[in-house]
Amino acid sequence: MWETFQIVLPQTVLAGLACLFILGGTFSIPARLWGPLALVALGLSAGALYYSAGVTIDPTEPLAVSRSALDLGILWSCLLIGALFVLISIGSQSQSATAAEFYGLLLLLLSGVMLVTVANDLILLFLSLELISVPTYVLLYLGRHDNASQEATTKYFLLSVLSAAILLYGFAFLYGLTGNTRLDAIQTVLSTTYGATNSDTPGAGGSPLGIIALLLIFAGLGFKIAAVPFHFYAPDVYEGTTAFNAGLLAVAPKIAGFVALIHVASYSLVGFERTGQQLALILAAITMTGGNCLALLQTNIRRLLAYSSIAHAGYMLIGIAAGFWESWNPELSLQGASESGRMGLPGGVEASLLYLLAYSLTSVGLFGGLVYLARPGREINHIDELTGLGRTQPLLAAALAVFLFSLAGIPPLPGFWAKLSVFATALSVRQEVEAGVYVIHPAFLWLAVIGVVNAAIGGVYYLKLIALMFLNDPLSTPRPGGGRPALAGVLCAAALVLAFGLAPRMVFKALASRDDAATSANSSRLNPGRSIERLASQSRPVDRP
Amino acid sequence: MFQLSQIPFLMVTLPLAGALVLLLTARFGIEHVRRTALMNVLLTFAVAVVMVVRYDPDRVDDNNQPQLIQMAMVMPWVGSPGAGPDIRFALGIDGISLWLIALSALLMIPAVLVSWEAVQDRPAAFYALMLVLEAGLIGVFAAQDIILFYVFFEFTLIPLFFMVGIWGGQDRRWAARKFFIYTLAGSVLTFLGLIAVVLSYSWMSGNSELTFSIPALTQGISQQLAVNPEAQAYWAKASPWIFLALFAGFAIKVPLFPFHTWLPLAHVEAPTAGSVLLAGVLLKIGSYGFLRFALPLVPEACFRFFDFVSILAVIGIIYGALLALAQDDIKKLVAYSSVSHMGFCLLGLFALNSVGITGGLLQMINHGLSTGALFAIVGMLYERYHTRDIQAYHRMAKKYPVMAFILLIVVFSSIGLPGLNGFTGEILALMGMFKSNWLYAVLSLSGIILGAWYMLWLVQRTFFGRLREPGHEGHGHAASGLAAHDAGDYSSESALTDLNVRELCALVPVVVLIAWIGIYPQYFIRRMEPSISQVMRQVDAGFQRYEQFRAVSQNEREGKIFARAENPAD
Repeated sequence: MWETFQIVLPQTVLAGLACLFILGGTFSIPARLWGPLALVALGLSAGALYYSAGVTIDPTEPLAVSRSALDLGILWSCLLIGALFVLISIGSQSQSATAAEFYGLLLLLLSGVMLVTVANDLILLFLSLELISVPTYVLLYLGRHDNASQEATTKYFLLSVLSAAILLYGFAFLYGLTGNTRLDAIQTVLSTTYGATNSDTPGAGGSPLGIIALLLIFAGLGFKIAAVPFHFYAPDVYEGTTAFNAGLLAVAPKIAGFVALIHVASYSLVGFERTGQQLALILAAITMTGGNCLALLQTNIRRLLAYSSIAHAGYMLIGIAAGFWESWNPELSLQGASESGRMGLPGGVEASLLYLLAYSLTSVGLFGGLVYLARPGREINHIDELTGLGRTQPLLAAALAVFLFSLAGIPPLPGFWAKLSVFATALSVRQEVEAGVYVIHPAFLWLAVIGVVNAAIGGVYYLKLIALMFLNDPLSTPRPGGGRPALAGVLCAAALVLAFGLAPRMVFKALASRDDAATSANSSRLNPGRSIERLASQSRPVDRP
Repeated sequence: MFQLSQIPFLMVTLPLAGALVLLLTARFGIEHVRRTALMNVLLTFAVAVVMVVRYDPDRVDDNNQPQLIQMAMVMPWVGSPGAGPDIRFALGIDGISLWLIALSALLMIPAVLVSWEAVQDRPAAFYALMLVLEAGLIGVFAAQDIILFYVFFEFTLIPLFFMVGIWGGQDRRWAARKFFIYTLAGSVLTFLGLIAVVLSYSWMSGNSELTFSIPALTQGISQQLAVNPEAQAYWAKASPWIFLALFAGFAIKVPLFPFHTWLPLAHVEAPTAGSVLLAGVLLKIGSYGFLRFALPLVPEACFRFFDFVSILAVIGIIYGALLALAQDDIKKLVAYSSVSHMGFCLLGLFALNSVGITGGLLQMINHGLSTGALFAIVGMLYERYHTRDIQAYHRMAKKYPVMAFILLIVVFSSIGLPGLNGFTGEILALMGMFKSNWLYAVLSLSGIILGAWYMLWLVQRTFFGRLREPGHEGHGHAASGLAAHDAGDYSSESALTDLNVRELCALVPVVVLIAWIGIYPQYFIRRMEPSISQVMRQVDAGFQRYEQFRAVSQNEREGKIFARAENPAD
């Protein structure tokens, strides 16, 4: 029991300090102090995380939280990205009357994202997702005060509530199917019920209830990650709000949505891999294509980036789809052609997380650049406003070019390593065509081909922005209103992106650590359910050599 | 302590360091910038000379096996076994990459020298990008890791995009974007092919760790195919797809016939240095890719698609030559001649015998030299008159005898006059093709004739005949691009002089090599030979597998027909 509090200490620190911030907003404290104070709060939370990283969990005890070595990496990344968000907003909030509330809500939102990462219970998971949504509604209102902003906020609110309801409905089915709300227990129940009967024979595994649950969960979380066809809000909301809020929407719900999807669907829903894989595969293909093709038509910079963020959700879903196949047929995937397991590149789920990290870092920087360029009450709207930035703001333009090239997947930048990982997981999915001959699964092969064609389409609009910045002469001299901290935040993000791109060793090593932890018996930080899942998947009868 | 194994690493890092220095010292002015750039380029070239001299084609390792990859350097990069993918920063030189690296280092000298006066706008950024491009190009040819190769392969797009887009001609923005997107679209498919190769090898061998090393993959896959029947069955199914994936990127880069439309635009709009490097080195990445990956890894698919690729190459040769014949713009003419000449390279490579491959590889270097020099000369003319219109030039030889002399050498090299380098390469490539399929060889001969036609016609129209300088006789449209003070200079005959020392220095090294390869190609072929025969071993093994596979599938087909004849009710 005590471990639970230790594990959630960083989140508790953040949430508690957030309350103090909101309370402090009623006193006459200078607005420019709140930004640095928020950084201090993040520092305290990091200290708490450093302390709680050493906490061990007894795998037999039923707890509402769990945390693998990989989750720990996600938590550190969340804090880092949160710090970058605070940094880029300091300048624009230094005069604001609502700075305290703004930072309080930001910290609350961040603690929600971090809670999602450790939640091991459907109810806690749902509540932490709401802890992200509710501050977002308020932040959207705080950002701008015009009709477009009102419309965007209302739209986001209504659709978000609807998606939460759908998600909750899915969780209810899951509870009905297993009689449990704890993810590890759900996983154990499902693997004893369906796991052994091997779901790849049609009809054997996968109760309709579970399939309905899976569908509803995908629909509910599809809103969070902005997957087509649940993406409709994204362009309108991004367009109708500030660059900072758009950046926050592009990153925070996406991290939470993918982490939740991985924890619930990929890790826990044993026996429904086949359905999950098909769903993720179709969603990935239409999300990539839809996002990229629509982004080609945009002239509003935030709308364009909204569609680009939709497209990137599609690439991440490739990894999820391959991850389902991996737990279904480990021997016919990256998991390994041989007994000894993995072959170096991250597996499906890990590839998605790698992509998520690369995407989040670059997105923070990119939206941070727009925050820096904006003046109070005057956002950068049309892409033409970036024209000639290479001459007027060379340093910022260079940083933005790094982010855009990374999103386009040009090596050696993080986006390239991310694309390498997800496409490798898709191509590693194999199928037997005749006795003893395995070839790449055609569905996944096509998915990979659609993926790379989309990468080229994405290149068109990213390059359009880069061309505007560098190949055209400036139309006017921009007067950036974001202040020095915003520029510092953007440059920090650029430095991180470059470091990640040129020396990706640390990230790949961290992703490989999930395996080491899973295989070593004495690792007690491990989610108990997941080791059972691995055992179950290993002991499942393998009808293909 | 200097070691040979540091040479490729040095050649990649020297230009990068130079680029950094240029950006940091940009405020010292243009004179400082271009001198630093030139020093850097010369230094890199000196290292390249050491590399060529010290490369020993006959070296054997401890087990008395030929050691073709020399000066190899391997550093762990992305991960190590057990912690992440084992992608390494592995560089090395073999007989195939040796000359292409040397070519890249050599062509940088004219590239810097022709930009000397032409680039006045932000010179530090321009030369820095050029040096970054050089590092990328050398990296592509030296990479011994499949992912590292792809990293350099894609990375070269970025500096060239900015060079074309910022310092290019009228239509530079569109040209830069089209070039980038077109190449990107092809290379992402190549990317899938390369990943599939890596995965395939681990499936064949049952290794739990993925191998990304190019020599290990090429050796390992052919070994597995020799002993492992399951691997053979798999490869029979997978290799055509892998070939097509590789083909998509490399054919666009070459460019092969239907994928060539980005090339004239990019060449014409690029600044002179960009054109020199684009035509001289960048196109070679495509043919190098075929030689490095397609031929040794999926030789059976190369046989299977032999007709497909050869016909495209033949069409490219003839069509490119015809298009060149119809151009009014000198740069466009040279650009289309590249399409034609690169067809010969591919024809040589896809002859799939050692004579043809030698010819193809030699032709890559020849084309790099002659087209690089041609673009440089066109750039020098453009600098004087600011027009590329063929009609505008007449009897330049009278005014510029030295330029005319060098141009003639380069043109003769380009059309394959015996005694110069073009002849050796083309004759070898065609001989190889003649052995494989005489029809394609004969058809492509017409490309040589057309090549002589458009090139000599160009020289005749511009450098001989009556002297008429652009801007004098009613060529108002041609002179419109001139700065006002330049236009005034035309009245005085002395203002425009023949090649100066700088321009001579830019062209002479290229001309020397053109003559050297023409007179004594053995020096060059000798160093390629062992590496090519290694490729040939894999191609021969692939041919046997292809024959075997074809025999099996023919039997099956006949069996089916036979079965159908027996049971007409089916």
